[in-house]
Amino acid sequence: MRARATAWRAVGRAAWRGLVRRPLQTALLFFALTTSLGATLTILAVLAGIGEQMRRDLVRVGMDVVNVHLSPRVGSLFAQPLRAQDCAWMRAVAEGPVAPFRAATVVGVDPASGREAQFLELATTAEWAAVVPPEMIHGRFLEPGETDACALDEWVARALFGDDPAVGRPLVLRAGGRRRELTVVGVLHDPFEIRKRFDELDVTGTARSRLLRMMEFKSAYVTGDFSDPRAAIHGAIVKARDADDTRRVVSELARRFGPRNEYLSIWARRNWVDAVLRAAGLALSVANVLWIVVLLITGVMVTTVSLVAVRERYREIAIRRAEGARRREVALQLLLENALLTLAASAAALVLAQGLAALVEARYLSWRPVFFPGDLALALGMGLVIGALATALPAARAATLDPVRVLRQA
Amino acid sequence: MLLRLLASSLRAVLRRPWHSLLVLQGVIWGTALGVVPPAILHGSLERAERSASSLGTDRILVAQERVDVPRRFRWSDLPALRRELAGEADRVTGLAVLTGREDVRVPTIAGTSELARALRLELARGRGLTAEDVREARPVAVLEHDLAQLLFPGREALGEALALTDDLEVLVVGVCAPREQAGVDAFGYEEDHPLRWVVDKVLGYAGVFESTAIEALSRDDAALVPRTLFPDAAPDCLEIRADPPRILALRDRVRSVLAADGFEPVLYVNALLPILYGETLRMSLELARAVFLLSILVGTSVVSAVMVLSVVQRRHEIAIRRVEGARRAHIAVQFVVETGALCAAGGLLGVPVGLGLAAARCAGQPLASVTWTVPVLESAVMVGVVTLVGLFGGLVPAWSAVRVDPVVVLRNE
Repeated sequence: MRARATAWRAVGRAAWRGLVRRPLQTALLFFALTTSLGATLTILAVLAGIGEQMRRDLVRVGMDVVNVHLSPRVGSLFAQPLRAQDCAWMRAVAEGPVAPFRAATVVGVDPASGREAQFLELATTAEWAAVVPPEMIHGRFLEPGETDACALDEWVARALFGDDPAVGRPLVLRAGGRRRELTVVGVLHDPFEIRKRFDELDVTGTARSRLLRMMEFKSAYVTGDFSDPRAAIHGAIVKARDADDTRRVVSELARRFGPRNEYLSIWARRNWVDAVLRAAGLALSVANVLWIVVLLITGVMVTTVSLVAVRERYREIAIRRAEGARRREVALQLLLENALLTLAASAAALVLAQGLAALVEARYLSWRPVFFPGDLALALGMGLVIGALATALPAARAATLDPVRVLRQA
Repeated sequence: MLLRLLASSLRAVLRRPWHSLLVLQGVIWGTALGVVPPAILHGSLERAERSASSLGTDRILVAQERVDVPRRFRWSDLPALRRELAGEADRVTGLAVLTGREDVRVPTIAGTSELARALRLELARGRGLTAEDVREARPVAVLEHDLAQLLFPGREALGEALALTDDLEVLVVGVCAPREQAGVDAFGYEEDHPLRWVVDKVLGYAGVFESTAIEALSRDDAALVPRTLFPDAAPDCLEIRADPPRILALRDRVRSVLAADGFEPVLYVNALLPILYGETLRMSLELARAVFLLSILVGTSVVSAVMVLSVVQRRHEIAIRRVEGARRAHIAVQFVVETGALCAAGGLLGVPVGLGLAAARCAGQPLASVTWTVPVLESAVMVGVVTLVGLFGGLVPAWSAVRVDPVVVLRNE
């Protein structure tokens, strides 16, 4: 037992000396390993951060909400497939609040600055807030019967008023020759943090039906008139008991609408969120190729150096063997040297990656890079394995050398 | 002198082929990674500007939704829209897509004398629609390429009569050439690309409205006739032309104007060019540059490490050269030249590898306007930087080579 411990200590000491004796080479390799591992970890964290931010963003849209609206795909044979009176029985089915709405593309003008923006006007009722509890940044949501007020999504408020507070300011809405002046009573938090940087990439946004643009959260919420039960509406949002209950609500609503169902779209926001996250997950796993490539190139580089380095040390190995070190110990020493170097570089890479990620976040991103322990372990583990494999071959060859022949040749 | 130095460096490189190859491949990868982004960027910018009209990067197509639209387009809306957009849009045209109407026997698009240009068509033979044709409702038609082939296979379509409806016969006065970019949709995606299903999935997922009228515009199989032949047909969609870089600004403007007038517009734009000019791409270019810099850093340190090792291995060689009369400076310069030459060669080889990667990337991209070119300036800079890196990487080993004492080395034999 003690003999074995001593042997281990000898191997460790030899490995340490092997590193220290060639400080320049060790330093250069350490630097290369640190940089590439650090870059790998940063890329991983940035990618993981997108996924996390999207998850955080999307959960806010209301996982227990069901959207019911006219289908944008088919013109309707029914004159008005959806009417205000439908809300009453939908409430009974869902056992929760239901808010009807009509949607229109409008142009909003800030009369003070003359600034214009186009967005969606959602005419609804105060019950909207009961279906999707709004996260207000400023002010409040609409109150029942409040006809000359509007609440704005953060994106709209920013487009019209910039960084100035919007609450209490007048706003002119123009559409179809109509012109209405309203007062802003509240601003809702933008559920899509991520778009603060990448909004311009949504080039298909203007080709979207207005019935689906509700989910862009670029809307002004105003009080609509739904007093006539036979009045046509564009849709309604329905609150289920919880996220799991949405399945029941969707199928029950579809059944109750009967033949009208063909002209309607009925879907749970939760499924939409799942679809978005799945699509994003696919895109992210493609992007993962990036860090794998970085790591692979590092691997090839490290292999190069190890191959060359071991060849330089045949004499030293022969002497160690002549001193009585066993083959296994020699191979072990080389592997240990590499492991020590990789471990030290990993530790440095962790620090470097934190710094790089902070830098990238401040300069480019609208999301926070996330370091998952599992991802870190995976990347560092892969680094170690690649390093070990890169050394194993030359180490095995070096260990089989005949010391007599090597020393005679020198 | 310099030649001798180069020759001895080259011999040294060739003497250890494995060693050199390994260093070389590292440099090649680094350079290739740096070449890909500018190759694609410049290529796409050039194509998007040069073939703007065939790719549709210079136009906006406007349709309306099917559901509960307060107001439909009328021909009389166009002059007002033109006035409103004067100075921003070069052309505002209405198109009435009659394809699919029960009384019409062949796919038909009715419009004004600008119809062919709005559909990005070139005339092959005959003449286009004129303002007089429209004003006097003359029964004439210009045929798109595929329709002429289909109706009059193997013979000249010009001068033939064509029965559009039961009681309307038109004279074929012109035939169009096949489209330069056949099968490119309103967003600029190729319709017969193997990855088209991915595009459709993404567009469907993005909630893009499928307009049958817009789809009919990119097929090559319609008869183009003066709109006055069908007085009851209203324009289904509008085509608006403007400078490609300004297309997104114009899109927002058009949407504002139309929304304020009570329309529910759905706008289709191939916005590649403004994206290429935009903020997001600038950012990703900066990031690409950072990755390039990083790989150069890693590359330098690894190249240095390998060369330092080879100094140890080559102490014998160095000692003999010193004894032969080579001065320390010569030996140091030889090492610097060696790494410099290796890196320069890697850089030169890396450029074509990078171009190959860019070409592969573009082949897998269903956006017709994404392509690649040789970024001459960037490639030159890349090779220059890589060579410099090699020269600097050679300094460290050069320094340790200089310290080799020939007497000590040779005595130890």
